[in-house]
Amino acid sequence: MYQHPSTIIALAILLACVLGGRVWSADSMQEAALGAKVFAENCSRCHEAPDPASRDGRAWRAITMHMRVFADISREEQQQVLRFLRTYNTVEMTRQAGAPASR
Amino acid sequence: MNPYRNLGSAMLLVLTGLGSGLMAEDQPAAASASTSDQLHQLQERINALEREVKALQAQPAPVQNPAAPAATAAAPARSDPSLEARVWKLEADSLTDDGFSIGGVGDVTLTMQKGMGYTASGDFNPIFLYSYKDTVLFVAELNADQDGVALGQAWVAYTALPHLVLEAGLFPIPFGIYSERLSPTWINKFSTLAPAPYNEDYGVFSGDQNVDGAQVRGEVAIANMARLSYHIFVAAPPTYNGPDNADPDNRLAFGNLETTHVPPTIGVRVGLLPSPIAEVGLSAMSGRIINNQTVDPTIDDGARRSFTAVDIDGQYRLERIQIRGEAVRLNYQDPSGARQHSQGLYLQASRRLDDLQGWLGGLEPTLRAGRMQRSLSDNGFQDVSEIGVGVNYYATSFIRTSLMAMAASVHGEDLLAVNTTFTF
Repeated sequence: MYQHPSTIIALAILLACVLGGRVWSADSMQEAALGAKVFAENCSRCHEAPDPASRDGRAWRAITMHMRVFADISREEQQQVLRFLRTYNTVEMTRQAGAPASR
Repeated sequence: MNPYRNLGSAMLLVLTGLGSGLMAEDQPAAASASTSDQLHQLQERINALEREVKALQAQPAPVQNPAAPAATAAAPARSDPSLEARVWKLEADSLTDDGFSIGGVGDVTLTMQKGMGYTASGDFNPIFLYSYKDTVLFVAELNADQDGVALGQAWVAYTALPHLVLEAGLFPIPFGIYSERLSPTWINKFSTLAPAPYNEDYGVFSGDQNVDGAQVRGEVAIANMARLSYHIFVAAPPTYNGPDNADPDNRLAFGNLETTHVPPTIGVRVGLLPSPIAEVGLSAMSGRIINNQTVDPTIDDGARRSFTAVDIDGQYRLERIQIRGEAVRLNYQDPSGARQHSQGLYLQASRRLDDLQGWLGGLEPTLRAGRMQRSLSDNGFQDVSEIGVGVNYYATSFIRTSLMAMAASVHGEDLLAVNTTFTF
């Protein structure tokens, strides 16, 4: 069954909110949804998209800064990608822990 | 009552509508097609997570200890203490914090070349990244192989303005798209095999294209989805054949790190990105050549030898097919002062079969054709055509094995190679 990408992204953010047990701001959710799009489109311009769970936050900050300089993405897009990676990884780690997180 | 149940229902309605409205305005059909593969995988992951959410919702709410502080009572039990630390790191995602990453790429290649038997080789290239706040980035890369360890890249970038970055050090030359972005083994669809204009034996230039210099670069949005990128660089001038001067063909080699008073190379690249799936670039550079073939070192006749190069590059994603191409032209003077030229082009197409199930989804057939023409100092002329076929297999997102066959119109260049590349 095909679903529109925006619906899928919205569901991803929803799950992060539900599993995280917290209400994130609408701005943060919009930013993460846009980040998923930037991540999918810009990474694959030159190479295979990396596994979002393969690095921690500090490493992703350096890597996205590298891509901001090297692949000409904007500061706003870098922030969106970081927001998406955080959301994705929070969902993943919560799933692995088998319990909702609440930081 | 389970506190997550009502929250989930309400958020589902809000976010589904929010996401649809948010994305519908600027989501072109082509871009949707290009991202649908990854989003499809994401959807499958979401479906699995959704089932887990329902299972969690069915569980009774945890009983809070009225004697405990509120913050402690609200925190769920976690069996893995390291999880706390990892979540904390991920939540610190502000751009004002510093970032640090040690990663890299390694590869091993077995090459069977016509008339030359078998050759095994390996490379290990650790990459260090450090970002300070929102403005400074330091990048260093080492290249280690059977011949030793060398510095591949070492540069620092300072974001002076939102659309202007100053960069200095030893960096990949922003001339064309292959040299700067597509040459790393894990990105190149033919792993260690460079396309005709950059072929190790008969390409336009000799050796790696990393240069010592400085550049100004950036990107600006010019329309809804469309962007323009620019590079203006000053770099150390090339030599003939590199420092060892082992190639008798007098090809130009960048990467000189020795002191010289020959004027630097000046170049520019302008890239147009009409959408995230398309890019067209135009590059040009010009300068003097360090004449390391001068018999008398007191004669700086390098100042009289010059070169000019232009390049057109492009890439486009047609549904699931990634198409890339580049054409390079170089006019230069050889050590005797005679005018020479070389030119080359290539076209490459690859398609990841990730719409197939199972291990077949990890395959990526690749096809490349190229041609290289070059005038020689002895009044000869070299004309090489090549065609290559290959298949990559992505075992995971960080391990790729490639089988490549390349046929060329010059003797001794036909080869069969197997390469495995991993990133970390």
